[in-house]
Amino acid sequence: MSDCGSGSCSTGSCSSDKDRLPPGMLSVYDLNQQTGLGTLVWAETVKDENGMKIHPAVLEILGKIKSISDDRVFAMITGSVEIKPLYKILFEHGVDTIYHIRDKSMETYGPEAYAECLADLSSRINPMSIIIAGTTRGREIAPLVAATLKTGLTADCTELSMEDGKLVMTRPAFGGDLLATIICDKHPQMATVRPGVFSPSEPAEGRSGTVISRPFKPKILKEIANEQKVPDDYDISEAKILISLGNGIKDKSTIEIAEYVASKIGAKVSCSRALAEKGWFDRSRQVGQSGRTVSPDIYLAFGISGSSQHMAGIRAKKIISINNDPDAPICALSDKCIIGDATEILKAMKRSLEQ
Amino acid sequence: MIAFLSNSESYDIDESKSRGHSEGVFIPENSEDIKEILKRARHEKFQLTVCGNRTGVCGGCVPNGGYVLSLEKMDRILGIGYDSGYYIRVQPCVTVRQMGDALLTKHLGNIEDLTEGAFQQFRDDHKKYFYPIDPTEMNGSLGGNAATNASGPRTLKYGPTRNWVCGLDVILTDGTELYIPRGRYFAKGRHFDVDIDGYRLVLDIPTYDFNTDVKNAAGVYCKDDMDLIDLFIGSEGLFGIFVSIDVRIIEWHPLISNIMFFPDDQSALNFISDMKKECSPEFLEYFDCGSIDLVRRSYSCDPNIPAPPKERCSAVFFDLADEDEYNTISEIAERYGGSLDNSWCSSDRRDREAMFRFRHSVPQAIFEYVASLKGHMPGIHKMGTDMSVPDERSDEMMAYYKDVLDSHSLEYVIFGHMGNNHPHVEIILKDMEDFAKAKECYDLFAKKSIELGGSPSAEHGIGKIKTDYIAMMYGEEGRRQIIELKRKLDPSMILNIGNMVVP
Amino acid sequence: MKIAVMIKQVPDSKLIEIDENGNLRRDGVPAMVDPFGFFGLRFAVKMKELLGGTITVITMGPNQAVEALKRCLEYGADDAVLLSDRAFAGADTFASSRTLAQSILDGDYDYIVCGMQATDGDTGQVPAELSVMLGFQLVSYASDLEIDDGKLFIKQNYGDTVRKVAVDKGTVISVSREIPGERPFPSIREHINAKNKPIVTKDRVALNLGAYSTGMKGSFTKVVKTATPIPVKKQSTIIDSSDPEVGASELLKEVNQ
Repeated sequence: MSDCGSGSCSTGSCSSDKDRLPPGMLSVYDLNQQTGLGTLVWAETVKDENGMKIHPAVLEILGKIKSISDDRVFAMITGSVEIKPLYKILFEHGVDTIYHIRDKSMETYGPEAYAECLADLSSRINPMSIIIAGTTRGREIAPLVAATLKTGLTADCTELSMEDGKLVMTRPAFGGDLLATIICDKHPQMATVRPGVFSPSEPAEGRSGTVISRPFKPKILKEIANEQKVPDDYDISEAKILISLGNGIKDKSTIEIAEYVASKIGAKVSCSRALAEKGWFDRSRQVGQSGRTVSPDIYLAFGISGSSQHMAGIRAKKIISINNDPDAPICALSDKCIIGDATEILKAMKRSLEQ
Repeated sequence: MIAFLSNSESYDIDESKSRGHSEGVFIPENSEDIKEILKRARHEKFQLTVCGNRTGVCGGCVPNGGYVLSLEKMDRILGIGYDSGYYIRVQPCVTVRQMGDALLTKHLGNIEDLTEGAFQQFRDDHKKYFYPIDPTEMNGSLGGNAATNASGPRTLKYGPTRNWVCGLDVILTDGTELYIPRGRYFAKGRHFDVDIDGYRLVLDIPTYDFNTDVKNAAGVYCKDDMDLIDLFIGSEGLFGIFVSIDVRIIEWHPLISNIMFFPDDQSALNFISDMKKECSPEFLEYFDCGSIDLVRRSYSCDPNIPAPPKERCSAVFFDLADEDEYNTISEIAERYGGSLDNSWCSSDRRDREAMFRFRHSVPQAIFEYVASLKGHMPGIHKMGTDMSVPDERSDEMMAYYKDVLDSHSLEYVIFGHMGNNHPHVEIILKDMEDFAKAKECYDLFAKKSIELGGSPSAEHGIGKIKTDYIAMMYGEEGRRQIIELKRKLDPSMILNIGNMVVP
Repeated sequence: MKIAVMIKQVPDSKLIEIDENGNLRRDGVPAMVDPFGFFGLRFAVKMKELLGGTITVITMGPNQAVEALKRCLEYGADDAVLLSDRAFAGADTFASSRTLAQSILDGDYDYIVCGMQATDGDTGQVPAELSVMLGFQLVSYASDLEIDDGKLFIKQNYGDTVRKVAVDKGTVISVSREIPGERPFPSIREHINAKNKPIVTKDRVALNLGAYSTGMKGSFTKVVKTATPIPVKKQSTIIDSSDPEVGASELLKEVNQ
């Protein structure tokens, strides 16, 4: 093809850069519009005392994808032979094709490397959308991928649906005071999903798919001086029962009582934003819009008024609030509302359990 | 159905950490509820102690038996009016902070126009407004502020709450609700005989001389030909229950908050003394080395309290409207070992709020310390002075504090409104022996401050813990006159008995 | 060594309310520097203490955003740039990053420091997108830094692991935690001196950006609807527990089921 010079070519625009449009042309004609199909996900893995597993948040997004679309699902996974038992899980949760990235240099997480790989895979597969669980690492690589592919990304979605082939994404803004619904007009459409919001689907026993082994040498590798696991990871997101303390708890010594009761009934202790800000609890124990989203069977809210930002983090089967103010917003939002002194009730529970 | 809690343990205490006892707490939502409760109290002959947010430091809202009446549900801003300046009507449990935030954002909710078009006019007005009385306890209720005539650092420039209350809606113990605006009902000499919308009020007010030359919150305010509203302001709940309070607000101007650190106590005091003469700060707050040490010890892990410098130092906290004064300030500071480099400074609202929190952390550390002692010393409560003296006697009073406390071997910190010659001397009690000695010292201080022409209760009020001061200041006759006035307005003697005077 | 710190001016979220119609009241709410962006500034100040150099603080916003920049100048930045143009409005993170990237290329910076996320959009995407557009490396969740043998190391906190990485020039750092400064506030001297520090304003043309690179025109995502979340009301049973034993036994019954 001959050199086009600067823009006044009658065969149309050869530039994909929106800034350099021929005179009179209003927007770029994007051939990519309708051909993307399927969803690409990053199957993040975590290691716990039982070995490697798929991060629970990934199973959540797979469940959601299955409910909104019948198209093919592709997953990228890294690691070596210890990953093989996980194929089954991915297939059972709806993945059709697994791209297992096999390269020594890809076994340690590096954001640029993983993003480059995912972007490269996306160019190859040409999916309609890329959906990544909004875990700490997911939220790091998703925008790297989006910027590399020059497409839009909607972060921390709490709702997804499909309308006329377009992914409709809803996310909270302004600390949760507002819900914004967003669409993307470029392909692939990208979203990260807030963990704890969706539920995994029932695994389809015996379902299988294809595994493609793929080599990949990343351009950028991180110079990691050292890496350590954080000990005592008190994780409230897996708890079946949560005892949650709020600003109505005036005395810090109540925390000890709550921890005791929790240990006896198989619960964990979480808190509202106010107590995290006071320094009574680490941020990782905070439930709410700017904290964690939790989905226990029972959520016991002691001395919590029930602001919308706090309630946004609770997807419990049953909410019981313990408060001395019957007009607190949380009462209308709970299954049971116990009116009384939260600290005294915890003390009474402790006495009962001590016997 | 008026809300009632039989377990009122958390209502039996205020910030002085003195603990009382009660049979339960009523939580009314409006005037009708309050009148109903008063009726029951009169008929069934039980005591009522009224409380707001219980941030008082003299036990004013601590019950000695009977029931508590908590105004916590009455916490809305009701209306705004304009009368050569804006004024806001609030229910008693609106807090200082709540009002400050609402005025700043102009998000006042659905409030009434007290004069035609006032709310719209306020919203359209580009200027900012604020309420200048800023007790460092920002969770205090405005009802409580009015009942105790509260002050804050800004009282140096703006006077106490009394100067800003222009209307009161009060329910007397017989159930009558009266609206008393400022400027309508006056005494003739020391005698009131007024008709308030058909209700005739005849009263004799005490004849003692209420000191207004210094900051004074001791006793019932009384003056010849006084305004009736001033009888209720600072009356510590003896004469009626406030249902709404009208306060004036003024135009806000940008201020810069500054805290400067000095090598020792006397340098800071000298700096303050010169500042009063050569500059015009909004207020001047003093922290001795001991109080800064206390903050350092108590709040090193609290992310909300800014950390003071590591080396031992005293501090002066002041707000400035005019940046040009910094040249003079720099000069004065350098006379006494301070400098513009060893300071904190900000005009940002949140930073300034943090500095105010720092200021408040000193008394707060002491409250919490005393609270921790209550476990094994149930009779203990905070012992803080609240004495003010005229300018020219200030050095003498400071020297007297130190002499008396040192000779009693007591540990103490001194901080507070040096602008008004009104520092708080807080004794760090270790045991009941210290507590007894402290009471002795405070008696001496009280007498000395009166001798020097000042007041032993400049801003905290009398409550239940300082009732001795009334006779000290006004004699047995003065005390008797207050009790008589109380009996006139509360014949059944059901309301807040034990505040100010013990009948 | 030149450091650029990216901040945003956001409304003070503690004062934002919802009005009777369910709409967000943003009017009259005072503004502040976004908290994580402020952590970024603190981080950069520590870098400057260890490595020397200058700090430029950059923000994209309306003219009022100058107040946020002034605050940063008081807290240790040396100069400031305001990117302001109506054409920047309505930008999604890609368009914002594009605009910010252009201003960075303009100034030739070695390190870019950002806060993890701003409190209005809460997306946390800009630092990563900037790194791709600039061809820089990305170090996220930065919680601390140190110099070892002349080399800069940054501690990253991923929640389940903590990582220490070596960092060279040409890195975007996204900060998740505040490293307290020597003083909690600027001194009076720093406050006065900040008034002399330069603030430059640049618009789209000054940045050499095309009309389709910025703002809504340069965005790939758009908001089609906003709503205030409606909490799910339940038919709750109310239990009077003025006697704490009542509440306690009720709760113990619930959790044993």
